[in-house]
Amino acid sequence: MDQVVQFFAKLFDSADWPPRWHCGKWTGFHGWLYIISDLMIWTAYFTIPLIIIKFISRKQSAQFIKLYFLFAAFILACGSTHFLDALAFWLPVYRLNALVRFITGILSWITVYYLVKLLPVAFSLKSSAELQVEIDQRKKAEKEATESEAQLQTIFNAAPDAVIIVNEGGFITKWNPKATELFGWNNDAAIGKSFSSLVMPARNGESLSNLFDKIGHLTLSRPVKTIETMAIRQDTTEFDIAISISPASINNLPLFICFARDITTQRKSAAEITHLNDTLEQRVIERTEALLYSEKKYRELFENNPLPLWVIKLASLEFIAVNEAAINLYGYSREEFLSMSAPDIQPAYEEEYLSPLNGTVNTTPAGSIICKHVKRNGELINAEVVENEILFEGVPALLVLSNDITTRVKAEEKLDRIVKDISDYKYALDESSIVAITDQKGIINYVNDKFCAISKFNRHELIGADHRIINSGHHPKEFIRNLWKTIAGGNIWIGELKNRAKDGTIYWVDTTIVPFLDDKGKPYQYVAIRTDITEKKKLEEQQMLFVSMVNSSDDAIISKDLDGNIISWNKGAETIFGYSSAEIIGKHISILIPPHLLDSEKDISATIVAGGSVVHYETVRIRKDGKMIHVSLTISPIRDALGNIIGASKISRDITEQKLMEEKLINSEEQLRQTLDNLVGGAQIHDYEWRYTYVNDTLARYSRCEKEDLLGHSIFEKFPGIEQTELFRVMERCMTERVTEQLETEFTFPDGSSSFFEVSIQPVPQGIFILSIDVSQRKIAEKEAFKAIKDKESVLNRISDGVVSFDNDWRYTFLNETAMDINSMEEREPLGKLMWDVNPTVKETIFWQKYNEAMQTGKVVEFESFYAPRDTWYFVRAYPSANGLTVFYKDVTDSRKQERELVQILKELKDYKFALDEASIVAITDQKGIIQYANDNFCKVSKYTKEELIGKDHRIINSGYHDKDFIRSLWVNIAKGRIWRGELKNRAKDGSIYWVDTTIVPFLDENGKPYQYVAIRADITQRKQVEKEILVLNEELEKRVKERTEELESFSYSVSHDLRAPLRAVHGYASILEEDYDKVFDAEGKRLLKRVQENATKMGVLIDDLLTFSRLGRKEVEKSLIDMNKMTELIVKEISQSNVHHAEITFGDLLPAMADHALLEQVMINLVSNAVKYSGNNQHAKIEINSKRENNELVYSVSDNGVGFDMQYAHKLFGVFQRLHSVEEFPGTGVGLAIVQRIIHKHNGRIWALSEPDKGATFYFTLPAN
Amino acid sequence: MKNAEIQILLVEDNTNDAELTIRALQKHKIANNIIHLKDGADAIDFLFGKGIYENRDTNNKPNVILLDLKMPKVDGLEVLKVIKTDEFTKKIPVVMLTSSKENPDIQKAYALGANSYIVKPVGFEGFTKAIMELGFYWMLLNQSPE
Repeated sequence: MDQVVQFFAKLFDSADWPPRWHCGKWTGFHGWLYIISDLMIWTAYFTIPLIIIKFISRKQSAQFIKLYFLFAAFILACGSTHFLDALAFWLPVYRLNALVRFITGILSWITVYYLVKLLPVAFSLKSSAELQVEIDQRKKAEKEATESEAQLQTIFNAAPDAVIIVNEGGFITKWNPKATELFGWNNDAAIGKSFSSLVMPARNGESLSNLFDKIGHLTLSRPVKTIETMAIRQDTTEFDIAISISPASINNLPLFICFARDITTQRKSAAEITHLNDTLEQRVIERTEALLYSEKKYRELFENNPLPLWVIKLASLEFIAVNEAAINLYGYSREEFLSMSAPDIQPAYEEEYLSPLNGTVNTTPAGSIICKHVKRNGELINAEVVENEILFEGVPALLVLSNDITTRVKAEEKLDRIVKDISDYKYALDESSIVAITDQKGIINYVNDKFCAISKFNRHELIGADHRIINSGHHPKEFIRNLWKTIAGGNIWIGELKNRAKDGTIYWVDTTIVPFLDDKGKPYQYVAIRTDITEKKKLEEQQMLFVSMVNSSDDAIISKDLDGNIISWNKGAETIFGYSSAEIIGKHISILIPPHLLDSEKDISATIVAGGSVVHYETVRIRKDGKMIHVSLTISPIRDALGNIIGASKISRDITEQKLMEEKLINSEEQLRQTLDNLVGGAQIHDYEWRYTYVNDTLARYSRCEKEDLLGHSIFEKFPGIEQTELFRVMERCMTERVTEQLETEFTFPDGSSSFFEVSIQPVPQGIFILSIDVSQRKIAEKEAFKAIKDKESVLNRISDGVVSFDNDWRYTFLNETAMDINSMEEREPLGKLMWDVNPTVKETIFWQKYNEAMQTGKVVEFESFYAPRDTWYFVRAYPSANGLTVFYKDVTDSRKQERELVQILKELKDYKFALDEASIVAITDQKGIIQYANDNFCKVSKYTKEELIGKDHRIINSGYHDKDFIRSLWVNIAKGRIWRGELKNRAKDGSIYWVDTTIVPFLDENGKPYQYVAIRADITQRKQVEKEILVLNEELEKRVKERTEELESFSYSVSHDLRAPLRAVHGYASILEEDYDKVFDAEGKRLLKRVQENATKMGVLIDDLLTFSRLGRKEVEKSLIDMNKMTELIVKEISQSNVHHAEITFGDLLPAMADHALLEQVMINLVSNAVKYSGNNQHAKIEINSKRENNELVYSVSDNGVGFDMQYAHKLFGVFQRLHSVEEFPGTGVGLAIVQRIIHKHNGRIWALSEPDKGATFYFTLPAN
Repeated sequence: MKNAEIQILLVEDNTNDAELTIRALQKHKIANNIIHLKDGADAIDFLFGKGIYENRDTNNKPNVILLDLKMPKVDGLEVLKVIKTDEFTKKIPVVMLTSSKENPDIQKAYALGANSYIVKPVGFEGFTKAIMELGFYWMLLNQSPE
């Protein structure tokens, strides 16, 4: 222990040992090497702990801190030992040395202990190389971090979107310049603000802080939530914003990175698109409404139209619409109609449509034709059909307007017939008769050539003149008045008129005047049909003269046939012979002849038969009372037309007194002289020297000189050349042969005048006595009588008129051949018989009445009557006279028949005219178009009065609508005598316009020139209006559709142009960012950029789809036959190539379709790709495509077993932008099915779908089978 | 610059489209010297040395003209008509730019003598591609007759 105490006591005592230098043999070098090394070790060992301590003191968190201190102590201790070793060279304090070593040893072992204890830990620490690597790496990483931070900062600052870092509490911790720009707050002001305070709750009501909370809970999944909402700027303005929030954390602090973008513009364009779409929809709706309204109006017009109307397809002629009127008219039900086609009601459809109709009857105004239609009951009708090509529900069609004109056609046919008949008659009349037409006042409107010929006026002189121009003044006023009364009363007048021609000659015409009546029964014109009867009239007059002469002559005028039977017996004969005509007619002439003269009578007969005459044959005849009378007979033969002698006429004069006077003369010379002087005849006595020895006054007068001029003068001196005459030869014979001579001779005086004389020459003692009586007058009468007889023959033969005479007791006294022929009588049979014996029924006839009338009144009676027993019409004229009645009658059956027929026709015409007047608008104009007649309907429609119309030109109602060519062609047609038919637009007095269906019938004269026109019109204003209205409406519809199409087209174009431009810019700039700022954006940034591009592209697609859809509306469908199998195969292939899908697509044998190839392909692509899309979730997706034929339709179907849909939304399937699934579920724009529907509708097909949710869907569409 | 060959004259009122077009042309090294004018009136003035271009050497004609159809003032068709009816300019190929191939003006443009047309697609790639193809074609393959 002492040692230990001593040890520590003497711890710093060096006295016990010499300094080291002195121990052993230390060289300086050796010693100093030792000292310096120890000092170096000591200093080094001393420094290390200092460094360690220094660093440890800095690095608070360093590990192994105790070990460091221990190690520092250990190093310090080691260092101390080395210091003490070095010190020992001068100061040998070995005890301290030992103690220090001991402490060092202890520290070393403690260190060892700790090393052993901490070595595993120490080994887990990186080695220094490792550390170095790590350090390098760290340095690099640090560098990189620094760079990336800088970059981040740059991106952060340059990001196109506002980037806002928000801490867990929702407060802004970071905010980039874009954010400042966006929100208006600067960086300093923004930091610390609650981000929620800048943003309004999202539309779904979720506030931003809620969102942060939500996202906060789901940190692991790092979802990015995007909301679109409104934000507020510093200046409190609001704007649309899209915020994407993604959670993050820094130093374990959760925070949110928010990207915010001003989407005002985008919203605006979206809103604009929506708005544009709304506008489009609105327009479509408006247009649709307008169309619907038009269509409704059109339907009303169509449906309620009184005229039958229908629409047929242009291609197939099938009925596609038909109105009530058509159903009523044709008797088919609507359904029946709609299952028929046009040829079903119009069997001759092809014929009538393909061959243009000829002839006037069916020539109708442009667009209208007349067809034969069959009703359901088989009845055939005439229909006037007007067709207009229209588009009906997009299908080219014909709008057909049918007007049943059967009645009209029938009426027209009848009219045509009547007109034709009239024309025929008229032609015949014009050929045979003298025809004139006058207006109701008697002004001549028309005359035919015959009229001109007979009247010797030319046409110009006659037309416009009064009938008085040819008035002869012959007829009494009363007669003319009666005529006018008759015709003005609407009755036909028949009679004979005596007219005066231009040159003053007189002519007779048999005249029938037919009045034409207007609808009130008033005549508006008169047609006068005349026959020239001048010749007949002359003959008649002559005959009358003859008859009266015969009847009134004091001479007996008797005619007999060759057998000597008496056939006529006049008043004179009655007086001379005492027989009445009734007694003697038919008796033989011999009854008058004394038996001893019968032979000479035979000679006379022979002379007559030989053609000779017997003149002044003086003989004796027996009167009825048996008294013999002297008669002078003049007998002439009667010849027939061929000159054959058929009888003889005898004129007997009673010359008994004359004879007696002659005898007396002879008896008394004195008496004779006195007698001779007073004799009415001329008396002269010639001596043998041919000198006048006696002349009486009469002879002097006869000789045109004084008695003194004759007495004593020779006959040769007075009448030179007399010796050449027959008279002188007879005188000479008497002078020489002394025989009495008698002769009748014509003597020509020296002054040239001549007279007939009956001369009787007797020999007297002084010479010869000549008694002469001037019989010139009688001779003329006789001559005329002969001539009359001759003429009578001609009359008998030349005219067919019958002539019958009766005496006052109604016995037949005369019948001419015609009369006998007419009565089928044998010659003479009725002569002397009573009228009613011959003709038992006569008293019941009008003839009897009229004859009586004539006899009683003493006036000529004319009448016309039908004589039933002979089925003949006679025109009769009865001339009464003192001796009885002479009747002329003429068979007028033929002309009466004609007339009767004419009257019948006229009546028909009248009936028709009445009907026409009732139903139609009728006007008659002359050849210049001057209105002569207009009916009430005409007045009603034109609003003019009759007075205003008549005398006017048709231009009074001219509307000016028709061009000159049209009017000209009308006139050319009718002026050529053709019937013109057409529709005319006229203007009424009040300016209102009306349409008339017009038929103009020209009435032609014998030269084929029209002299008047009858215009028959039907008011078709309403039809015309309807027609026009329908056309206008249809045109308007078409125009509207066209307008709408054009509007949409320009709208589409501006949509495509104006909306695409900003999209292009958005997409373009985003692409530039992507390309050129690749390094600036991290993955998220790039993803967002992609989203921007995707959205821009999607909007482009939307616009394209929208355009495609609207374009479909105006695309023309070009149909062709499509092999659906081939098409479907290609489509399936294509879909499989462009889409990855696992659906099994099958299709049966598909029927070929008649459709637009490109459009139908679009339909199939859309339907099949829809099926693929919506069955994408089914692992065993199956798609089937089928087709079948059903009721004239091809039905195609596409079925899938995909998600299907709820049928309650089926109506939304085909709407534009209508979707039944979200874009997230199934992408799409909602246009595809709308396009499909539109295409199918354009093909006149239908489309529908059947489905159930999760059980797949089947889409059906149809196409017309033909 | 003034006398350098004008490779392309771009007439386009939409600055966005113009920028994208120019960039596409430059990026694909089709043309560096592109003159961009913003309306049709300007383009006519430029081509014929009128107005503010009075002192321009009009003989320095562009190799090709890209002409937007729809522009304010004087539209593309009018400019085209002027270019194609004037002997001085009619040989310059003109390519019409349009937003839609549905544009009925395209047919009118062809009728007036346009050499080609490009539909500006929404997608930038498509646009670049179209511009590029066009540029190659008209700048490289289709040597201007002069």
